[in-house]
Amino acid sequence: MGLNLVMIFVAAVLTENAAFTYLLGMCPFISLSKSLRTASGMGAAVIFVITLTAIINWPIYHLILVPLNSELIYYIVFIIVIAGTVQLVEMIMEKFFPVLQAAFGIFLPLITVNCTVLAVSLFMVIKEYSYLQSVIYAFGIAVGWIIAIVIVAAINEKLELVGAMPKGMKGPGIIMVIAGILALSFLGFSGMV
Amino acid sequence: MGFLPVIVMNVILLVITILLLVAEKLLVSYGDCKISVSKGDEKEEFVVQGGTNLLGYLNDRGYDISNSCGGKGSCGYCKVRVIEGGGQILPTEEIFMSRKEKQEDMRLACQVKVKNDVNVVIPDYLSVVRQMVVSKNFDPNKRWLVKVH
Repeated sequence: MGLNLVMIFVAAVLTENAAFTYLLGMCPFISLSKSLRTASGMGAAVIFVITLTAIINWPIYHLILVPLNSELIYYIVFIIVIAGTVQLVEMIMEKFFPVLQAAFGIFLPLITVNCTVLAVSLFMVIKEYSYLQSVIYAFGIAVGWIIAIVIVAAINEKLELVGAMPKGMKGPGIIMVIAGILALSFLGFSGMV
Repeated sequence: MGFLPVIVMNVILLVITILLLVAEKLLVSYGDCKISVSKGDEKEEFVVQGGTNLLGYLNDRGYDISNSCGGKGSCGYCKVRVIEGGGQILPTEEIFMSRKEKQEDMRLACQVKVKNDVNVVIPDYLSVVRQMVVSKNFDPNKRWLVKVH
């Protein structure tokens, strides 16, 4: 069981990396990978929200939708739950953890539109994971996403220092190129788990 | 299958909406806050309900704060100087601010939520440009800076 969980986690981080393998969450990935600080802030918020929504969505699917024969609407229900959870978490953090809220800043509401969050909830249903497996899988996918965005942001920051980049390649252009090369390198992990 | 999925979805939606409304009522209340606004020689004070967006409120009050993204934090035009009560600068604003602007407490008005008493200075870019045009000093090719007092 323990080994199984470790394998799910490693697979989610490396071989099934959300950003490099499934190309999920590309909008915030491209726009927020310009600075390392912003990227790590967004990544931390993504870890928090993805894990939390998996914790909430699994029981909703298995304890409400399946017994009531309403699996058909799980897409819509997951979207509603994600949006509601993000709003609620933002309010709670603003009231009780203002320092944490200042750190996450604008990233929390942005995550509502990050498709990785929805994808994780859908994958855990398709892969028929148990509750614990789903939570570990969600956490792994989120860790994989933060690793991807942080690597790209760090390389991008170093390239900015070089300064000899063609004007047309600056910004999203070079980020796509970096992400492409990294995606190829992540292919090396395939078959590992 | 019938209508059951639709009913289930609506019940879930209703529960989440009620939860959010209750949470908003209990958690998001800052009380009344005072906004002191200075623009050039003019000074005004307003009392607003806490939680208001600074850009939206100032525009409603007739202050011309330029913005082209409608307060989404992506154009970086709505720069104002928040002397006190604005909190820390957010990562979304940092990319639009030079080191000097950060030192001068410049903020993007669209990213500032009024949570306590706020003291704002609005840079009077328009009258500076007008003055430049009148005195025929305006050169559109030249980079110019406006000093915010």
